[in-house]
Amino acid sequence: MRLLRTLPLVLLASLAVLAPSAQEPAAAAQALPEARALVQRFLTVTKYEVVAKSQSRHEKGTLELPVGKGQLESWSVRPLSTRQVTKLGDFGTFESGILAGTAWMTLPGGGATLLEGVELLQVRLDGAYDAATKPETLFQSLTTVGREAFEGVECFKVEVVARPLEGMDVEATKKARTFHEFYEVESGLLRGSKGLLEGEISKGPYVRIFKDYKELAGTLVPTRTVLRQDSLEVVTKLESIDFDTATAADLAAPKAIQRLLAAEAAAK
Amino acid sequence: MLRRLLALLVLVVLASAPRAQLTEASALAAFDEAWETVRDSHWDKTLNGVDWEAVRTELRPKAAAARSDAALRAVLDEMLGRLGQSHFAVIPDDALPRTSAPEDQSAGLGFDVRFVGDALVVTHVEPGSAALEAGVRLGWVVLAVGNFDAVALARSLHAAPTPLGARRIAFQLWGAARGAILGPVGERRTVRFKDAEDKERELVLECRKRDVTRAGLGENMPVFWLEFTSAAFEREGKTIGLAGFSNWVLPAVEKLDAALDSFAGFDGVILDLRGNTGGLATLTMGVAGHFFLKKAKLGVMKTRESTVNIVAFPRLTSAAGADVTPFGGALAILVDETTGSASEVFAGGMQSLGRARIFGSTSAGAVLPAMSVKLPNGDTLLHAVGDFETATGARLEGVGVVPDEPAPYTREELLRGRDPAFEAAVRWIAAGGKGAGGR
Repeated sequence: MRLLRTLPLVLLASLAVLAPSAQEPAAAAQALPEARALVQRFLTVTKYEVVAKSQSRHEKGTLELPVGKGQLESWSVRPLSTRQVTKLGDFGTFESGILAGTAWMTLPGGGATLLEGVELLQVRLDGAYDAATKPETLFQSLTTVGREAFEGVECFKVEVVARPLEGMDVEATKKARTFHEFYEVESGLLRGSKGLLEGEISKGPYVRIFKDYKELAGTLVPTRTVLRQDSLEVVTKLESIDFDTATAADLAAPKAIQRLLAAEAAAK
Repeated sequence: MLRRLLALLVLVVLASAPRAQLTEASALAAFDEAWETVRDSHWDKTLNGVDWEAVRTELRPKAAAARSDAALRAVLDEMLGRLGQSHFAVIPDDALPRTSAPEDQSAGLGFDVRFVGDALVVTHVEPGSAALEAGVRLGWVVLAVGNFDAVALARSLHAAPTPLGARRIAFQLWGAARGAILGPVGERRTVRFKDAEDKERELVLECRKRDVTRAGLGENMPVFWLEFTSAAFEREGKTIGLAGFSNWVLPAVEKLDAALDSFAGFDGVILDLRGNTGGLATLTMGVAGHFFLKKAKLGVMKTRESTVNIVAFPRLTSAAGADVTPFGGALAILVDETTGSASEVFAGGMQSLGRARIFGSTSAGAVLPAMSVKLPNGDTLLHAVGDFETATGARLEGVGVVPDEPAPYTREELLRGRDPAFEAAVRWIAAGGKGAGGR
C-alpha cells in the first residue's frame, strides 16, 4: 500500500530530474508534486498512524544554546492543549502552553503573559496535536512552489499559509501566517521550515532544521532539531515520547497565568 | 515556545589572566573563530564602520606569532577593541567556574570604592567588616591595596586612549580595585589610605566572608558573587523601601521579588543599581512588572535580523502564589558609572516611560545585548549581537542613563557620612515623589 501511494511521487520526481533544463521551465513546474501529496507521503514514511491513534503525547529531551544546556519537557493533548517546560540552569525556567484556546508564557524572574494576535496564531499552529497533517481548519492553503536544496538536501518547497484567526486583518497578517516547509525529494521526510516569528517579545526570521530521524514509540521523528535565528542556534534533542500518559495536571498553567486569566475574565 | 526563546543576554565584561604554550594552528583557530563570529553576528553589518577585513589582515599574523594564551588574548583584545563598543571581550578559560579552584571573591576587606575626581574613594564600609573595625570611613582615599597601586593605575588609564572616555576609565578602575579588595577568607592585605585629615594610614586588613550568594550565567561565564541588600525605613512620615543588588541573576530577582512584595503600600521604593554591572536582560521584564498595572515596553533590542522587546509584564501574583497588586508609589533608581548593561536597560527603560526618577551620575553606557561562545583554545568570546533603544528611541550605548537629578559622590559629602544620590531620592519621595522624569 505504501509503495503504491508513493510510486507516483517517485515517478514525478524522476521526471523532474530528467527535465531540469532551463529551456523547459514549464515542464519542470508541471513536475512538482501536489503539496497535499507531499504531506501524505511524509505522514506515511513517519508511521503517523501511531500518532493518529493516540490522544496525548509526552516528550522529553535536552537543548543546547551557545551559553549552555538545558532540559525540555512537553505534554500535548488532542486537539489543542499543551504545556512545555524549558529549564536552562542559571538562566531559569521558561514555561508556555495552550489551554482552552488561550496561549500563555512565563519567563524566568516572574514575567507572565497571555499571547495575542499573530503570536497566538503561530503558537496554536505549533501546538495543534495533528498540525503535521495540515488540517484545513488550520491551514488556508498548501502549494508546492519549487524544488531546491535545503541545508544540502534536495527538497520540494511548500508554501504554507495558515488561516487567520477570527477578526484578524487578513492582508496585514499574511506574511506572518506564511511559512515554507521543505520535504526531501528522496525520502519524503520533512527536513525543515523557514518563516517569520512574530510575537510580543521577539520578531524575526527563523530557520528550523529537522535531523536524525529515528523511531521513537513506533513513529519516525526528528530527534535533533536546530532552530536558527540571526546567527544564533538552539539545538534540541528529543530523547523520548510516551503516548497516552498525559493528565490534566500536566497541562495546568502556573498560578501567575491563572491570575491573569481571572483578571481578564473580570475585566470583560 | 522554543521559537520564542530569543532571550538575549546582556552580560558583563570581566577581567583576565595567563596560561601555557600555544601552537600557531590553535592560535589561528581561535583568532579565526573570534573574527568570524563577530563578522557574522554583529548587529550592524558595517561593524560600526570598522574595516573588519583589514583588521584581519593586520592582526592575523600577530595571532599566528602568539606562543602563549596571554599573547593571543592581547591580540584578540586589540582586535575587539577596534570596534570601540562594549561587550566584546575574551574571558580566559581559567576564570571560569568549572576549574577546580575558582577565584573566590566570596570574602573581602569590607569596603567599596568609586573613582571620585582623580581619586579612588571609599563609598561604603560593610558592617562587621575588618575595615570598619580598623576605623576605615566613608570618604577615605585608597592609595594602594597590596600591589594594586590605585594612583599609578588612575594615571595610566587617563593617559591611555579610550573611545568611551572618563566614565569607562572610572568603571575599569573600580573593577580593578574590586579585584584587589575581594579575595579568599583569611587573606591579609596591606591597604594604604589617606584619611579624613588627608593623613596617610597603612592598615593590614583581613578578608572576611561577605554576605553573598554564588550565582552563575552558564558554563561560559565566571561565577558571580551576588550581593543583595534591602531595608525599610521612615523619613518625614513616609515609608520607604530600599533594595540593591549587584547583578541580574535569578537568585537576585527571587530576593528582590520578596523585598518588593514586602514594600506593598509604601510611599516609595528606591532601587540602588550602583555597582550592578548587568546580567540577564529577560529578568528586567519580571522586575519591571512590579511597577505597572498594564504591559509596558521599556525598549527594544535590535539584532541583525530580529528585534526583542523588553516588556514589563504586570505582576499579579507573588512568589508564594498570593494575589498582589503592582506597586503604584514613587520609584527612584540610583545609578552611577558602575551601573551597566541590563541595569541600564532597566533604568533607562523605566525612565523613558516616566515610571522612575533617576538619581546619581551617568551610567556606564555599556548596554549591548551579548552572547558568549567557547573558542577553540578554551577561552570564551563575549560578543555583542544587538543594540538597545529605550521606549523613546534613545540609544544608551556610549551615552548611558543620564540622571533626572544629578547627585554624584563627592568626597566632602562622603566624609560627612552622606550618600548624595540616596539622600536626593529620599528627599524626593518624602516630598511626594511627583514628576518621575523621562527622556
